[in-house]
Amino acid sequence: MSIECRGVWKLYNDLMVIRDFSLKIDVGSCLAVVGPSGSGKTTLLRVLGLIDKPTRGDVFLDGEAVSSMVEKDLAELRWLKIGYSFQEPKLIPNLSVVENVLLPFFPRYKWFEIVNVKKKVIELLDMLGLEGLYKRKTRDLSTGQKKRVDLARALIKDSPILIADEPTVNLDRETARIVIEALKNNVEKGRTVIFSVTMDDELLKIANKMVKLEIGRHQIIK
Amino acid sequence: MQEVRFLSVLRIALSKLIKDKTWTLLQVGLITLTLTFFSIIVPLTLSLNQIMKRYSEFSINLIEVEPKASHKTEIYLPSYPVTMNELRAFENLTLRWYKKGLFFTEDDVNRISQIDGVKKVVRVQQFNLCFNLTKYGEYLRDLGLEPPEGYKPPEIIRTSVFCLEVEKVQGVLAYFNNIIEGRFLEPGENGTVVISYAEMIPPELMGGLPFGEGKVPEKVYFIIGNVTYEFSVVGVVVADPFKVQSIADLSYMRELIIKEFKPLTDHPVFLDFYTRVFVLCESVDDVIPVAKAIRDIYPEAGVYFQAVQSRMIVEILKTFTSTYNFMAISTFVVTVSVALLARVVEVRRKKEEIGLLKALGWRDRDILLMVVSMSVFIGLISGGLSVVVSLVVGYYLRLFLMPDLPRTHPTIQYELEAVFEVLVRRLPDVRFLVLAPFVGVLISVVGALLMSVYILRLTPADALKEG
Repeated sequence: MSIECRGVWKLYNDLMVIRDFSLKIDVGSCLAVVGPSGSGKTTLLRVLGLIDKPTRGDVFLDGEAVSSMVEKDLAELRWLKIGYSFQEPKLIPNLSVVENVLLPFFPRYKWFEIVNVKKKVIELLDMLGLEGLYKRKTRDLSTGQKKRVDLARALIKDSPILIADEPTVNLDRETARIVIEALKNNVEKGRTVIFSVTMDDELLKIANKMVKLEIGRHQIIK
Repeated sequence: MQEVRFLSVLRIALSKLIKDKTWTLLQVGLITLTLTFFSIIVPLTLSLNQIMKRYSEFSINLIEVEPKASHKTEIYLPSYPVTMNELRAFENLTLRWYKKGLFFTEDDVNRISQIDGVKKVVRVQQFNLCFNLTKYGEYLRDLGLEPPEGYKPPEIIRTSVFCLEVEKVQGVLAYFNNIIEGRFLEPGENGTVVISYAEMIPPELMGGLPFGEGKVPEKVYFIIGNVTYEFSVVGVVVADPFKVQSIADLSYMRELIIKEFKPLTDHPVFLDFYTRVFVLCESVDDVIPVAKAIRDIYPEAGVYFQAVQSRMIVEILKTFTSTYNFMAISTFVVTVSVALLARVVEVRRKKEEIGLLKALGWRDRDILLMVVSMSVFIGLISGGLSVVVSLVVGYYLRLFLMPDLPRTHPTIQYELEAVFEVLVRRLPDVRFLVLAPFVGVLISVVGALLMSVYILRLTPADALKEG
């Protein structure tokens, strides 16, 4: 699934975070968004992930403009097309690891279908080094563990577009390697992968396209 | 388009409630408190207002007059006999007392009626009737009681009957009859009677028995002359504070008695004797002048009224009721607001969570379903708990609220006590208990929806922002 920005601006009150940003990401591409803190990486990813709306301009999924869509259709797109991993893990603290990963499925799947997905969740959690933590409440996890649970939730849906905001930040080298491997697998499966990164050469290696953001400016590097 | 998977959302909602137990319990506690107020304070306030109105309207202007203050009425009760000996005794005594002026007559009633400020005079005849205890076993069976082992009820006992012009005391006695058992001794309901527990149950059985509603016989039987008359029980009063054991319509009772004694044309039953009268004044300001006028005419009469005390009680009740109304309304508003606010705050606290769910592809209706189902769970639990709490609180409140009213007017004193007894018996009100779970759900859902609808209008990114 291709994703494209055309003339996207994003302002928070008087603060301009993204200025006239245009970019097309083809199906199966892997885009790295790099830049210092405050350069608008997270904002851009949220706009691309349909979590935030641009102040001006539009985002197109497979050529279809999303600005004209109502909230119900946007929710469908988020469910069907996008897996999103947050920079600061967004989890429901009183729910278990497995329940947090399964969150997107509850309003869409019958209970027995969810039970089937649970097996896949366990495999994914094992792959991300979270074995044995399935029933633990996420409020009791370390930051790195939370980060991986958040990523697992983005990966579990096998969405055509995977967006990860600073996926290796706050992770130790070994865990970062596992995460990079997971992203790489998704790229190899032909999914569109977009991630932001501040400084991680290993992560950058998997990207075939890169955009560098500075405050109010951007530059497509490759 | 896929449909919402209700059960899956309900399960995750329940899981969230259980795992977030501190907040859940806090909200359940607040809503339970609200509903308990709802089922206790509101009916109590309504009943108080009703009593206040009735008491002011009907009881304050009433004077009770006995022919001789020094005489004890029950000693002078004429007795309608079932044996020849009693017949003679009755004739002798009644005639003697009548001649001595120990009863009011029709002349007296007319004289009192002409006093300025008198609205109407209610005639009362009290006399003894013989009570057929052969039917007694049936009463006990109706009550679900068994007499003590070895107890042999006497064949016949006397019971005192308080016969009055029922149609004239609507709003006083009839009103209280109505309150007592939800029935009404209407004018024209001739074959009816209000009876006391004591009439049915011997002292040996009185102690410790649960005299609840539903243990009252539907019929009683009076023997007048040689005929047994059947009466429908339309009201039951507690026996102790009031010596009269049955209350019936005067004209009907006289009709029956005259019918039985007709062959004896010179029988004293035809005399116009009244053991007491009730004088209803035009207004409370007329009570003292009328009472003085009656005293002037009948220096030995027992004149009972409670104008000063009534006013005082009415004033106290007014103040009490106004304060109570204010307290009840404000407490109710505050508690409902707090309960609503608790739900609003709870959902506001979950703003980030709702933002996350939106970001993960939950539709607004999915989120609303989860919020509403959590609210319904909380509301139902609170409603159920409030029923239990209300029953417990109501029980102790009943014990606490029984008033010790000043004893200035024998009959009215009795009536007020009866009313208060009924008032607290209705705590908590069954209607409110039935409504409580629904109101709990309503408060909970409305509180949650107020904030949810606001949050759902935000983009996921805005909802995810902290603060």
